[in-house]
Amino acid sequence: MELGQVLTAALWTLPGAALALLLAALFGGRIVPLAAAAGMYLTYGLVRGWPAWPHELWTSPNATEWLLWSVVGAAVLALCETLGLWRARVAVLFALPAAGGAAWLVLQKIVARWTPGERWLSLCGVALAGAVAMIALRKLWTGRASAALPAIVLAMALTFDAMLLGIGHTGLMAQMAGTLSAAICMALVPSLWGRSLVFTPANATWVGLAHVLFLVTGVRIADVQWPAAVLAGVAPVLPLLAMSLATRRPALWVAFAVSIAAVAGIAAVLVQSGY
Amino acid sequence: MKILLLVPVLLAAVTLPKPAPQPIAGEHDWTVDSVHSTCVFRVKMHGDAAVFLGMFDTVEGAITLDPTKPADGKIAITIPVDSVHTHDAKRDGHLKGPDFFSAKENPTIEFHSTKIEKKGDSTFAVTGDLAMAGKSHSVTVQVNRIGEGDFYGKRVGWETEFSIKRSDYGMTYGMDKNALGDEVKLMVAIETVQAK
Repeated sequence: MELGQVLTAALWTLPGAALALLLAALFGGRIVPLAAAAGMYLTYGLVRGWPAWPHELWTSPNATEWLLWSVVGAAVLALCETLGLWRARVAVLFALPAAGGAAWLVLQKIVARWTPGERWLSLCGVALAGAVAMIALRKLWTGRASAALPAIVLAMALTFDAMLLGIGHTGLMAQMAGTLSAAICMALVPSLWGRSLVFTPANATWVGLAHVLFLVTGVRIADVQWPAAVLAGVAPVLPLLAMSLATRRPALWVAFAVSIAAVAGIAAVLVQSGY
Repeated sequence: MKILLLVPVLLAAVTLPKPAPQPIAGEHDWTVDSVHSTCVFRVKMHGDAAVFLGMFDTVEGAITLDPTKPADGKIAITIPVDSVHTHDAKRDGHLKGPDFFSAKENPTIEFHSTKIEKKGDSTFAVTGDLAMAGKSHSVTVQVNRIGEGDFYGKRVGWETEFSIKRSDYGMTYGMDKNALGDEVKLMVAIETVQAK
C-alpha cells in the first residue's frame, strides 16, 4: 500500500472521529465509549455500507460485523458502569464471559470447521487474553488523578493495532481501529481547555476488549502474525508494570512508561512488516 | 453347537453398517479437470481508466448434462478462494482478506445449478446460486459446450462469460472514487473428463 493510499484510508476515519467528538461535546465525557463506538459504526457504514443487525447475523455470521457489534456492546456495558447501573466488581467478574462470548461471536464461522478440542482451546485462550487485558488496563486507571496518560496509551495501542491490520491486508479493520483511536484522541481535546477528561476504568475495560478482539480477528481472518499480535497486545499493559515500579510518579517515569508501550508497538509493526 | 458359531457372523452381517452404494457414473457425468480449467476475472479500475485481469488457478466440480434432457442436468462448481492469483502477493493477500472474500471465513466460491435450459445446439442457459463471501445470489449464465474429444479419457469443454456486481456480495471496498469498479466480468473455461 502506498503512502497516498494509507492517507486516503486514514481520511475515512475522520467523519467517525468527528461524530465521536460531537456526541462527547453534546452529552459529556461520560458518553465517550458510546460516542467512539458510534464513530466506528459510521466509518464502517461509509467504507463498506451499513452492517447487518445482530439478529440478521445469527443466520449469516460475518466476523467483521460481529467485531463491530461486540465493540458497540462493550461500549454500552462501559457506559452502564460509568452511569452506576452496575458495580465495578460485577464488571470485573463479567470480563471473562464477555471476552469469551465476543470471541465466539467473531470467530464462530472459522472455529466451526475445527475439531472440538481446537475450538475450545482457541476460544478459551482468547477469552482469557481478553479478560486479562480488560482487567490489567482497568488497573492502569485506578487511582490515577488524570486520565490523560492511560487515554494516550490506549489511543496509541489502537493506532498500532490499525497499522498491524493495514499491513495484514485489511484496510477496513484498520480503519475501524483507527477510528476508535482517533475518537479517544478527540475526547482528549475538551480537556485541553479545562474540562477534565472523564475516561473511567470502565472505559479502559471496554478498550481492552476491543484491543484484543481487533488483534485476534486480525490473526484469524486477516494476515496479522501471532508474534506481532502478542507484542501489540501487551504494549498497553507494559506501562502498568513500569508505573508499579515507581514509588512516586515523576515525569521521567511517565515518559518511560509511554515509551515502552511505543517501543513494543513499533516492534510489533516491524515484526509484521517482516523486518 | 456348531451352528452357534454362526450367530456372531449373522449378527455382524445384520448390524454392521453397509457401505453406501456408489452411484454409477453415466455417459453424461463429467468431472472438472482442475488442471485444465480456469476462471479469469476482469474489473475496471482507477476511475475506469484501465481494466485489471486476475484469475483463480483452481476450478473443481462436476457436471451432469444430457443434451437431450437438460432439465435433468446438474452443475456444481467450486473455486477455492486461496487460488486467487493476480501476480502480486500483497494484492492476493488483500483479496483473500476480510475487505473482499474473507477466505478464512468463506474458503470457496460455489455455484450450484437450479435450472438448465437448452438454447441452441451447444448452448445452455444455466440458472443457479452463486455463493461467495458469505452471500448467495441467483444468476443465469449462458454456457457453451465447446466440443469433445479423446485425450486420456473422453473430454468435453465448456465456457461461459457473465458479469456480477461485487457489491451484491458485500465486497464494496475500494469503490470510493471508483478506485475499483463494482461490475466484475467472470470468464470461466472448464474442461471435464468423463466420470468413472
